[in-house]
Order: sequence, then C-alpha cells, then structure tokens
Amino acid sequence: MSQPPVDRRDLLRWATGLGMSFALPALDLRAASRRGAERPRSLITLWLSGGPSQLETWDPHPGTKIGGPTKAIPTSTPDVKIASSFPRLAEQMHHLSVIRSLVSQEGDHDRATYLVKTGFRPDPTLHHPSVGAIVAHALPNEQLEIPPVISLGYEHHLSRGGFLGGRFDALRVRQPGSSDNDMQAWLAEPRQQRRLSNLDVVAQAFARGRKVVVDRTMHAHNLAAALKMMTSDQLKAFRLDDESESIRSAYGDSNFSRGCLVARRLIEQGVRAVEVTLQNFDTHENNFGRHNELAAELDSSFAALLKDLHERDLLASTVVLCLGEFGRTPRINGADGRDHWPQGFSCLVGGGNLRSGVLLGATDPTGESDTPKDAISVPDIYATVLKGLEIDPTHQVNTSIGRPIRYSDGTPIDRLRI
Amino acid sequence: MKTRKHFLLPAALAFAVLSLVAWVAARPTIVALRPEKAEGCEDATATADRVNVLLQETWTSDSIEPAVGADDLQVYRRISLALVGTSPSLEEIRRFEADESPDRLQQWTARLIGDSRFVEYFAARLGDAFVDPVAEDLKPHQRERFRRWLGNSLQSGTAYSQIAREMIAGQGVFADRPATTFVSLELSLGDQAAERLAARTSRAFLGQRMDCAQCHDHPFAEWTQPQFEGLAAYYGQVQFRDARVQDTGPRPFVIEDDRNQEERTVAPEVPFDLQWVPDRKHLRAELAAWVTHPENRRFRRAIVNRVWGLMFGRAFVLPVDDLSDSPSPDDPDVLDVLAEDLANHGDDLRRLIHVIVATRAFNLSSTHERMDDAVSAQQLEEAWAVFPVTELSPQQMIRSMQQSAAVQTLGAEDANTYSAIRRYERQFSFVDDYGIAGDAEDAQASTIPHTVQRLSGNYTRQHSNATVLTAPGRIAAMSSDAATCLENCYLACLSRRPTPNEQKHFLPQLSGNLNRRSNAVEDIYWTLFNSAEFCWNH
Repeated sequence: MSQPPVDRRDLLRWATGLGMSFALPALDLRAASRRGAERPRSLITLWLSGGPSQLETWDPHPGTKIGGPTKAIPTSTPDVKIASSFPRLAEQMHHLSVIRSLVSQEGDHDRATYLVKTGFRPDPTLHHPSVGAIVAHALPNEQLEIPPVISLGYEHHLSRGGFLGGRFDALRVRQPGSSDNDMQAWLAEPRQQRRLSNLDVVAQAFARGRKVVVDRTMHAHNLAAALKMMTSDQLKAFRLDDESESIRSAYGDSNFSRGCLVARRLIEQGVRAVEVTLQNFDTHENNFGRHNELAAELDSSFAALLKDLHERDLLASTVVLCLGEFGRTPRINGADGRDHWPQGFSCLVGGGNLRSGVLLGATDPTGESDTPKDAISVPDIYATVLKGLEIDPTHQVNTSIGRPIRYSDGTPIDRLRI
Repeated sequence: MKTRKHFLLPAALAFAVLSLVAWVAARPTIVALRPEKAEGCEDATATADRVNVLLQETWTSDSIEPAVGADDLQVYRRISLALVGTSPSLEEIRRFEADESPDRLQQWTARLIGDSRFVEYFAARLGDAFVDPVAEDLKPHQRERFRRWLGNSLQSGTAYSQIAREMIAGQGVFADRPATTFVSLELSLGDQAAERLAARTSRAFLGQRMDCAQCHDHPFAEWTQPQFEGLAAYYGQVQFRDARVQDTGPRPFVIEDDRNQEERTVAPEVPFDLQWVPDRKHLRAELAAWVTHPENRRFRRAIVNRVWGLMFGRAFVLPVDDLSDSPSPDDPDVLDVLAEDLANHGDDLRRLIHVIVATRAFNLSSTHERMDDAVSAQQLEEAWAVFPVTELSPQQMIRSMQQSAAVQTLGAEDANTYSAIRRYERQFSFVDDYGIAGDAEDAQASTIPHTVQRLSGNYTRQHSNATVLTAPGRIAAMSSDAATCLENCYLACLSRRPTPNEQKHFLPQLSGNLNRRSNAVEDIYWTLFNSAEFCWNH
C-alpha cells in the first residue's frame, strides 16, 4: 500500500459537504504512543478451530494408556510440562497460566464454538456478542479508524456483535499481511471523485419525505466512516513491509504466523480485540501426526508473539488467550484419532492484569473419570479475561427489547487475579 | 457408412448444444410469460378492506393523515423483494408497465408466487423459523431439500396447518420426508433436544417464547417452568437413529434440574386448552393436533405476523416470535382478521399473501411530509401510516445486485448451468460475510466493513462491470440516447426513473463515445449500488 488513490483531504472536504463532519477523524494520531500498564487494553485470542487435543498440547499424559506417543517437556514455569512439540513456547510459559479443567456441555462444533466465543450457550432468541465485541463495547476508542474487532485467518464462525450491534462484528481478513485489496478505493482519483459526488445526488432524492428514517439507516455515516477507513494510515497495520526480517522470521512464514504479527500491529493501533485462527484441529483420524504439524506452526508464532509483546511492553495491557471449542477424548479411536471431548480440556491465558505461572485443574491420567479436578466453566474464563482487562463482567446491557444481559455470567477465577 | 457416421455425430452434438443454449436463453422469458392461475385472490380485497377499516380507526383516533399511495412500480419492487428476493429485472419492468389490466399487481403477485424463485427465496426465509438458518451440522442438501419441500407445499396451496403437523409429528428419513428435518436437526445436536424442540415449537408455531421459562418463569407473559417442561415432554419419546426420525413408545421423560442437578420425571402436558389434545398413536401427533387446532388462535396469529413481516420487512408485532395475548374475540385486531380469513381459505398462505398485498398499508408510500421529525415519524410508523423503510437482507442485497447486472430475469430454472452455480456461490459467500440475523434480537444493521465491501469490494465491481454480456455494457451500447441510457440504469437498479435533478447531474456524464459512456454507466451503477435507496426496502 503506497499512496491511496483517493486523496484524503479531498475526501474529507467531500464528507464535510455532506454534513458529515461529525465523522471526521483527527488527523494526527499516535495510538501506540503509550505503553506499559497505562496503555489502553486489548485482547488477542489464538483460536484453535476444530477442538485441539489437550493431551497433545498443554495437558500431556506420557506413558499412560491414554497418552499415545506424545512426550512432555519442562517449561519456564516450574512443575508445568507441555507437549514436546512446543519447545519455543515452553521457554515463554512464565508469561502464561495453564488451565487443564475446562468443562462445557457442548460437544457439537457449532454450539461449542458459540459457547466458547461468547461465554453463553446458544439461545435462539438472542445472539450474544463475542467476547471481542464485549471488550470493544466496554473500551471504546474514538481514535480508531478501522474496526475495533478483527478476525485474521480462515475462521468460518465469524465473531459477531450480536445484540450489541453489527458495528462490533469482526472484520474478517483471511490473508493477513499479504492482501488488503478490498479495503482501498481501487479507481484513479477523478473517477472516484465523480462517483462520490454522484452518490450525493442520489441520496438527496431518497431523503425527500424520509429524513428521519434515512438518518436512522446510518447510511451516510457508514459511508463517511468507510471512506475514512479506506484512506486511513492505520491500514498499514495489515501490511508487514516495515517489519524487520528478523521479526518476520521469528514469527514464521504461514498465514497463521503472519496473523500473529499483524495482531500485534493492530493492537498497537488501538484495536480492541484480535482473533487469529489456526484451523484443522478436528483430528478424528491421525490425531498425532496432524497435531505435530499444527504444533510446529503454533509453537514459533505463539512464542514469538509473547516475546514480542513482552519486549515492547505491551503484555501488561494485552490479555492473550489460546483455546478451541473443546478438547479431544482420552480414548484413542480405531483411526488413531481422538473424538470430541468437552469434559476436561485445556487453555492458556496470560497478560493484562492476570497472574502468570499458575497451573489450575487436572485431568485423570487413566482417562476413566469425566470430571476433572477443580472444574472451571467457560463463562468463568471470560469473567476472568474481562477482569484482566479491567472490565466489570457483571455490567448489564439491554437488548433491543429491553432484556438486561450481563457481559458475562461467569465468576472470575480468584487464583488468576493479581 | 463410416463417413456418414463421422458427419452425423458432430452435427448432432452441435444441434444439441445449440438447442440447449437456446433453451437456456429462452427459459427466463418462458417463465415470465407462463400464465398463472391466480389462486387465492378471490375477494382478497374484501378482507383487505376489513384490515383497512381497523387501521383507519387508529389513524382517525390519533389524527393521523396516512401517506399517499406509492406508485405501482415501487409496490411491485416490494412484492418482488418479498416473494422472490430481488428487485425486478429490466425485462419484468417493461412487461409490467405494458400490462394495462386494472388488477395487474394481483396478477403479478400470483405470477411471482408461481415462480421457481419463490421456492428458492420465500420458502427459505420462512423456513428459517423452523430450521435454524445457521446450524452448520445440517448438510446443505438436506437444508435445500427441506426448503424445497416447504416451497412446493406453499406453492401448491397445501394447508399451513398440514405443513406444521408434518414438521412436528413426521416420521421417516429426510430424503423421503423432508419435514422431519425440523425434529432431526435438534436431535442430532445432542443433549436437551426435547427442550430445544419445545422452544422452537412455541416460538415458530405459537409466536411465544416459552423457553425463557426453561430456567425461570417468563418475565412478561404467564408461562411457567412446569408448563415449558410439560411441553418438552411431548418430544420425550422421539429418537433419531439410522437417519430416521421415529417414536420409541412410552418411556419416562427425565429432566435434570439446573439448580440442584437432581433428576425428575415430567409428564407431557400442554400449557393451555388441554381439551384440544386428541388421543393419537404417539405423543408428537397429539401435540401437532393441539398446536394446529382450529380454535388455537395463537397458531394462525403467529403465521400471519410472520408473513406480514416477510412482506413488509417488519412484522406487525415485534419480536416476531413473542406475541402478547390475543385480544378478546369480540374485538379482533388486524392479526385476527387475517387469521380468520386464512382459516376460511384452507390455511393457504398464498391467500394470505394476496390479502396483505391488497391492504392499503402495503400500498402506501414510504414518504410523508411529517417524516422530518422523530416523534411524528415514530407515530406514523407505529400506526402503519407509511410503508416501513427496512434494510434488505443480505440475500436480497446480493440477489438484487446480480439481477441489476442482467437484463433478463434470472430464474432458478438454469440451476444446472455454470453461471447459475457461480451465482449461487457468490450469494453464499456474500451472505456468509454479512451474517444472518434470524429471529434474534439483533436486527442486522449494515456496518462499516459492509460499506467498505460495497464501495470497493469484488461484488460491486463485478456487477457494475460493463461488458457485452452484462446489463451495464448492454445498456451503454444499446440505449438510443443518453436519457434512455440513464433511465435504463435507474430502472434496472432502483425500479424508478431519474428525477429532473438527477438527469441534470448525470446526462453530461453520458455524452461522448461508447467507451466514455460505458465508464459513465459503470460509475452510475456503482453509485446506485451504494445508495441507501438500493440497500433498503421502501
């Protein structure tokens, strides 16, 4: 992205002409100027889509009937061992806490994804906002010219704003760091100008006798904001040209790795919630081989992200969460795979106001029990994450018919609070 | 002999290809011309007049002057958006305007109900009430089969009560009995299927959110937790095994209490009017008979409200699945009048659509001189004294864009051709990006990323591209002069003609050679696609 084809000053002049000066941006912004704990807060979620095996990630049981060939290695947190396919992450584990006792009642991909992305079970009368949308709602950022919730990579279940509104839907960028074509005006200057002035004429005709409803459509507001976004400097966060070779190679060279690096760049701009998706964890067959391949991708990117956030002093203001919709059965099936298992799965969480280096819960090494020790529910994770971002989880928002709904129905986990 | 064979085969092949091409090309025209017997419109105006009287009473008592009538072409755009999910094609507009019969709106409504696109669009939207529109466990072909069954049933005038009974009580495999998808989807999603089915039954068929009572008593209505559980117990004897929905015979329905995790047995019991429950072979058949009982006013009021919502873009009562108690039978409201008419016409939803289209409210303009003030605007809207301005669904938006980019009517007949498959793919990915709201309380509102997508995304670019095959290209090349060219663009995209002010602005852009004009047409298409007028129903 060199020079946007539409001149920003012309655009802004045009927007003023439409009476849209309320939507105009301040022109010189330094969103990332503040660092450390004082900085505005953000959430980065590494979403392992399909249901990662706890046994091949953060809760290995080597040498048992259920453990399979997976080995365990020590980490920078004493007494915490993770699967040996994560050597780089093992060195960064002191930034994170490990939860090995997540439980839910949803063993179906759709329903479990809904629960684990929102903290609420599916309800046909209401679409709950994703946790990213909640963070953006609770922490508005007036200086932001790009959407406050962004989803990077190939995630099919897009995080939505639900009853908080479509403006909190995640912007989906499937190939972060390599393409932002659809976010820029693509025509040369004079023609683009002509199109914009045409719009004004058609809008006038429609507004006659419909002023109130046309205002309510927010159409003009969305147009102005969209144009502002399409010419915004903040779009540079989606590109990696100005990152050093050493940083880029530390993260790795996959779509997911680039997503992790873009995520860091986006939160520097003040984006509130970024979700980076690594897919294909639904390993009903060849569980071990496939987890090894996925681990190679996840290990370097995740470790580089933690190190980078820490070195840039962004970790104290950024909660990092890594999880999927459920775990996988202790039993190994006939196809050398593992099936869906919501009764004791794992996640990693750290950063923000959360305590690191804590280990919570334990699963049965024999695989016989389907209730882990110190079971923790998904809503509790989100109440904790919100606390880690200094957001009150009990805050209530009314839906369009006045139903009061809390940000989270969970209880913050005491042992993770500082 | 050999040489003749050599000659015959390619000739036959060429003939076959040419016939196929001609057939595909001619097909949309045949569809548009196919005479439709207008089922269900007899005396539709008589019932519509009863609705008009009720609304007029409100207007009079509140001293409201309703909007003027909208012109027929704008009303036709509404009907087309509601029934086939797209604004009308340039070809349809020409034919509609050439039709001088006084009841042309009624005739064209009947024609659209008979159109294959009605099955593809209207049935899909209505079907979303019965089968979760976003559940990904449902295989696309099963969802398609269900929608097709629903659409064909509606199109052939099958009683809605019969349709509902097949969904609630149907047995068998979906390929043979598509209605069973209503039950099988929830059963395939694991625990608490009976509770989810009870919730869906009460919302879809009775317009009641009894599921709030799943955990506690309903906050506004009288529903209690035992009532909800009694309803759920009706689904306690159904199972989904070997791809077949079937009933097991008597077995206790056990519920785990969320508060103390204790299990208790619940007996089936409907929440009101127990006397409507007949003695049938299995529980679901009893439930189906009770739900669709001729005296169950909630059943028909709920579907009337839903169909009103699909026609107007806004249900008569919101939320669409949570109606308040019915008024006294001596004092019927609009929903009652329409429900009674529906019952008197064999529960034929085609009839209901005709009556709604014939109401005065449906034919009012969406403009009003008092719409410049929020208070009076709200009053006018609540009293149905102006036609509501509502955002197009993502399906309507992409289908309208595709239709505007083609001169002829895009039918569903050509579903096996390459272009149609491409079209469906684009519809699918567009809708996927936009998201589907369903019945939930988060009315879809266009967002900034949506706007960016329209301003510079592929969809707008592809559909405003002027080539020899697309409407923009053909309009630029074939229009006799600049004024006709502009008019064609406006009709294709907005179903109206440009205002004098718009003519003054656009005509200079259309002067010059074909290349210049093609660019100008692309710009005008882009402009119209990005206008609020295109993106909203009005």
